[in-house]
Amino acid sequence: MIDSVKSALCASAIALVLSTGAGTAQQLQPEELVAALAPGSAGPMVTTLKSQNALVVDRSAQIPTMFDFPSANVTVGFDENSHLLTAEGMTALRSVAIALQDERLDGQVFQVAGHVVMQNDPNSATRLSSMRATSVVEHLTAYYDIPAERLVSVGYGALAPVDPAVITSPLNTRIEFINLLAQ
Amino acid sequence: MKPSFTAFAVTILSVFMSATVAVASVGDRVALVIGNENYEAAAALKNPINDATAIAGKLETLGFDVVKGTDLGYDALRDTVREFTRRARKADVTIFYYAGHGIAVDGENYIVPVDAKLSDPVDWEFEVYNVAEILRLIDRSPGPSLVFLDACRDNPLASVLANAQGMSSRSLNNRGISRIPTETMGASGSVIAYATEPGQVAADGSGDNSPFALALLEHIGTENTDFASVTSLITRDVIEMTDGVQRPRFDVSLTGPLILNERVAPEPLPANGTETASLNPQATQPAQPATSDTLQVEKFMFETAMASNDPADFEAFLSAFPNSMFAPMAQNAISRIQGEAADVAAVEEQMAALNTNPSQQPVTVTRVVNAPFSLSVTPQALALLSNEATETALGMNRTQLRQMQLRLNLAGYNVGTPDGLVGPKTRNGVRAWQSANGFLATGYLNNVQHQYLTASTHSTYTAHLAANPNALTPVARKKISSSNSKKSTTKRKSSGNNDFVKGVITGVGAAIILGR
Repeated sequence: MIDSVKSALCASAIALVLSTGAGTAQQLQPEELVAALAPGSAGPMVTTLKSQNALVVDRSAQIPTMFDFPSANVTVGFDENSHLLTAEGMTALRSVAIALQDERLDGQVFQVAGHVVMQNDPNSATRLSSMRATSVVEHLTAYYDIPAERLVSVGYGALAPVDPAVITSPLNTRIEFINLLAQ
Repeated sequence: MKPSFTAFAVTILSVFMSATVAVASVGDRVALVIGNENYEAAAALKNPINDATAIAGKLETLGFDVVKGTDLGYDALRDTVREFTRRARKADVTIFYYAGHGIAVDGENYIVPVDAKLSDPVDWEFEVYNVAEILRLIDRSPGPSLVFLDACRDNPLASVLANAQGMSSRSLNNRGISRIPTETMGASGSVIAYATEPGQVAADGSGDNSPFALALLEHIGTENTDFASVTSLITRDVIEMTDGVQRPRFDVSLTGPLILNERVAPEPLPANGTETASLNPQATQPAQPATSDTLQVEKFMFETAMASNDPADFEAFLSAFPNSMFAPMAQNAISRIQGEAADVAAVEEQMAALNTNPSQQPVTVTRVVNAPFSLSVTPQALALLSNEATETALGMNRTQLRQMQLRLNLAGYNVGTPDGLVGPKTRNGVRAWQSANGFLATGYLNNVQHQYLTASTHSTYTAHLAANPNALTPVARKKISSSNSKKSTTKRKSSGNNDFVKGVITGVGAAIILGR
């Protein structure tokens, strides 16, 4: 049940992501991000724990997938195997920035989770995913005045693929924004 | 009604061709230019009079009323400064250029008149002229001031003074002038330029002019360019000419943009089809290869279209220069503007729909992001440290370094063939790019600067790669070395006897001398 909610969220996020690829195509729309990231989008497990004041996670550590926080996956473009943002990547982040500035997400704290799959080198994948997450946080704080306290970067490596069946799927390499619900 | 772009463009063409420069109304500009060369108590310098004459001529073309003096003794110097002060009382911009010996004692900078002996530890103060005094007088004029001290050349008089009895307790340094705190200049803003880093020795130059004067002459009249950007061009040239030995220093505290050579758009010609056709060089000589002049015209027209952001202007540009390197960008601009217009229409439609159904609740405003992507520099981005470590942390491989070099080239900072080898040329390019965009010019990028470079060059870069698929293909070794060859001006250094003063008088601890 929990998993299905989570993957439903992921699926909708991926759908957004796919539409951002081509230059002239529709861009990633902040409205959809706001909807996916709003506290109301939390899954039953997190909602229940929260209502019992029992929701405790380490905001700077990898959060197990069973925690169904409101989240959105965004394919952010980086140059090859680096943490250098491409113009396409920055274009996607502009939509993220607009969403983060929306009053419905005002003041909320997000984990910026880097996901990278490198089949034969999990250590490098973790390192690269962490650097990419940091790069995204730097970009959002430097160019959009998002307070640094609202963004916590964490590298997940290949721990949480959205498409475990096809591990090499490009969808698995992404930046995930997770609303920590003031954790 | 907007004037016809084509007619306007033709006017620009004719301006370029007849080399007539339309200078914007310049207001009241006064300059003080001094070159001291033939010293009574020291060997003559070689270039100050040439430098002063050339600079004075250049400033006159920029609309300055120039008070010029050469080989001035103390009394003549004082009279010249007085004359300048009198004329500059209401000046909108003032410039002070000094070439000659200078000296700094206890952090105070002095100009050395040609009749100074500097042999007596007490008398010397009555033989020199305090720069601070000139700065104070300059600051009486309401406008910004630019001060160029091309005076940090090796100074034999300094050693005389340093060796004089009683000077040992003074802070005298024979390695060039001291830095002047810009706070000492008034609220109208100022630039204080040193031919080299304060405390270092500047070259007199083996040609007719010092490297600093050459670079200043070359760039001070750069059209429609803020002086803050001109400084980076000067810096780049001096570094190149001296193989990195000499680096000018600019302390800029301008309170707004200062453009010394503002070229105004001439009055548009009345629309006249026949004349337009006959004046258009593209029409009469379609196969003519682009010379640097026509390139400049293309660039100017493209920028004009960019400024008006009118698709009609871009279309006019495309019909005038169908094969221009800017053509893809013009095409993109047209589709972008049309897209934006469609967006505006959609929003207006939405608003109209809302207005006609006031009862419709709740109103959900859906923000639509379809505008083309662009990034603006923010104070937060400017504040981030950049140094060798931040660039190393980017982990750029050879290909990524090539891309960075190509982007710098496309942004207008020529760093040579994008070979992925980062030498002084690339560093200077980075520095100039940083300076032009408001970043601290360290020569090394950090992550957000790399992001800005990527974002701001995106459309040109994409267009360039589309037109030149091999632009980033690794180049042959010999090609790399040829790209490293220096400008001809650089060679002045090795030709002739070496007037470059690298070594300085050694063994004198006590005092600062600015000096020639």
